Amino acid sequence: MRKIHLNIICSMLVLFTACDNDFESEFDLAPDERAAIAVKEFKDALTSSEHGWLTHYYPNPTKLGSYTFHFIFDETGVVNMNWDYYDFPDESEYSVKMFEKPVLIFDTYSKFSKMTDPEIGEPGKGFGGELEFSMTKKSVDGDTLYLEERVSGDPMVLVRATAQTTTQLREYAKHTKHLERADEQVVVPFYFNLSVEGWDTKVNMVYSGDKIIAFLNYVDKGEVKHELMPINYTHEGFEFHHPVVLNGIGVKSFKYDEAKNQFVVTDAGVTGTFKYEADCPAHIEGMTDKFFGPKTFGGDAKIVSPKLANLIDGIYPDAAFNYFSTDPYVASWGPSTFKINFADWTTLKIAVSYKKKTEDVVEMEFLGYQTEWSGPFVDLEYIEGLMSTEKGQAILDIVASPKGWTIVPIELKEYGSSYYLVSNEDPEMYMCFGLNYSDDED
Amino acid sequence: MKKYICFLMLGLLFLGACSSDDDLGESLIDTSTPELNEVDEWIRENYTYPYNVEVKYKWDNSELDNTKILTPTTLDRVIPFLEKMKEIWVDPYAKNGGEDFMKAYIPKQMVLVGSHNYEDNGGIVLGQAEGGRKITIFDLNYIDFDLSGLNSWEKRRAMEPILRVFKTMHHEFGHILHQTIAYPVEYKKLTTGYTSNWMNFGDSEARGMGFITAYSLLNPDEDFVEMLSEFLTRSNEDWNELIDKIKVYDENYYTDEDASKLARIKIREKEKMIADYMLQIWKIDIYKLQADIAAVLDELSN
Repeated sequence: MRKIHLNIICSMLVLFTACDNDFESEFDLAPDERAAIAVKEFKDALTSSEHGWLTHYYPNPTKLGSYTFHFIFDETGVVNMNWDYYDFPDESEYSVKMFEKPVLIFDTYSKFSKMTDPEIGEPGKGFGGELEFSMTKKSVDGDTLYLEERVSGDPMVLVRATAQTTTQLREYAKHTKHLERADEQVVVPFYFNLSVEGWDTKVNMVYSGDKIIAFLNYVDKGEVKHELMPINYTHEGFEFHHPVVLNGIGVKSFKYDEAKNQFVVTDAGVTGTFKYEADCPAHIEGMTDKFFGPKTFGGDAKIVSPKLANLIDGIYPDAAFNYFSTDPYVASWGPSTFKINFADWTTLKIAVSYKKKTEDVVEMEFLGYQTEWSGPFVDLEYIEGLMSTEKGQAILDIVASPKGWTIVPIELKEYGSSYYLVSNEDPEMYMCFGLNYSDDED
Repeated sequence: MKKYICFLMLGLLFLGACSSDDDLGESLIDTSTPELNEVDEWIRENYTYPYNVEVKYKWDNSELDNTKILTPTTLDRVIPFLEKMKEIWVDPYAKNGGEDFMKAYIPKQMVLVGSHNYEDNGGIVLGQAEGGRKITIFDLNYIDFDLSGLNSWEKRRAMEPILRVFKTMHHEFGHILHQTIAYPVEYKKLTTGYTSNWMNFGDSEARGMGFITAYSLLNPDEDFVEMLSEFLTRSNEDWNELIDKIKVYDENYYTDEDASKLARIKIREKEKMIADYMLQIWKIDIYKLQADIAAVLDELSN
């Protein structure tokens, strides 16, 4: 009986405690009201800019460069957009919803969805971007919104656009052309080197347009270093994803100087330029074995410097020069052939022996010519006749130069295997091989 | 007695605590009508009001597998897809099984995704059904119903993703039906050789074993819905041609007539059992249903 009384008294005490209406929240408003306000504030911020917002979005900053988007959010849940890649105005539905924070969601497919499209970039995985972003903070003047990807937490910074942004966005692609070596019109030496006052080394940059990423290599304190650097284009030039710091001097931003065809450093207090030069500032070990070793397969070089293409063009009277290739079988089966392919699908084959001169220089030792099974190049005399001309001799002098060709990879192998061969006889002559080879493991 | 008095008092205290004078304020539940665009309104008219179906075409990560890389649908593709889905799947079933049948069994939530859904092994998931309530359809951005101006070869190519996605719809709907009322247990005994390594077989090889597709080899349920979906996305003529051409080859690559005949018989037995099940349980004549769907597909591809 006592037990019952005790239970009743305890229950009553609990009840009285539970009915305490004097609880004071730390907040003036209920959670749902605060959530609604936060959502409204985020949406108001997005729609507050008359000319929209500009963002340099890195979908995967460890592997890819940035895509620049210009967004204009309207009140009805539609975001109009364009990007720097090419001129293609597009729109998407968008919404701002409350999860753990207010989140901006790009609801329907648009140019921005390409950042998560499994068909684009790494097969099945895409570029690695996201479609949902929470806002972390807003600048005091309201001109910058700091967002982050909901899953990975990588940043997306929206900067208030101006009336000029639409026009400026179209300038970006021009700078891509300045870094891409495909369809190059101006004759320049191959090495695109960054010199900075206060640095005691130059940094060479090889650009890979499909990933918007630069492969930087340089010598620092006697040691060859290299790194992949995602690139972001601006209307003035381009930027590195993060500064390259040598001797305590960091460099990140560059502006194109059309008169000199070079990029000038724009970081405050730093003087320097990116120029096309004839000297290779850093020689990477293991390149000859990797690309011309016994396990190496051949490849095609469809990107050829204008000077080298001009040298070849005209050697064969029936068709224009098309591309170079090397043997499709492993080099150890030699002798190898260096092939000059023409637009009418004929091929002039030069028999060569690939000789390792240094860790990154290969020499194509001339062994003779090889005939084809059909077409004009079945006749050895015909081939020798063409190659005995002044042009033919000039081609052979370059191809089989004892100074050899320096091998400059676009990236190191975990991201791809394409490389440039740059003539040491004339660094204005170079070609880019997209390579397939048997052993990509070591 | 004292005990009862105590409980009575306690009860009174409880009631006292629930004073109705308290102002509970505005409801926390947002019941306002969301802003609807043209697509939303079309969906309401054609799916939500008649069938109580919610179609989610906007990006909603919570409805999808977060480990997958996916993209939302292109807005322009939503209505054409849903229109065709109605013509090829909903309307024929409603006509042959009755409006009430379709209202009762149509999945109540459909999630549309624009991109392919890749698996780690490189395979592509075409659709997913969850407990008969929700169905997720992928690939929407790759389906174009405008075949005008295409030659016959191009049309056949363009029809492939269309047939694939609607085969998926019939496949998943088949699961809903047999999970509601099971097909006869005898069906499971018609063929043996079910295996989780179905991907090691080709469709022709599977047909030679009495299964309509390689995926049918997974288990009797998949076998049942693969039979149904393959049957319903072909004209009867094409279906008969497919079955009649089944051939099994011996080790010397000669046709094994007996084995071929046996494989055809097994598939025909399955067809008959499915036809009986659909007629007896759901009052649907699958031959009429097949003819209705084939007419729509024929119009689309010509």
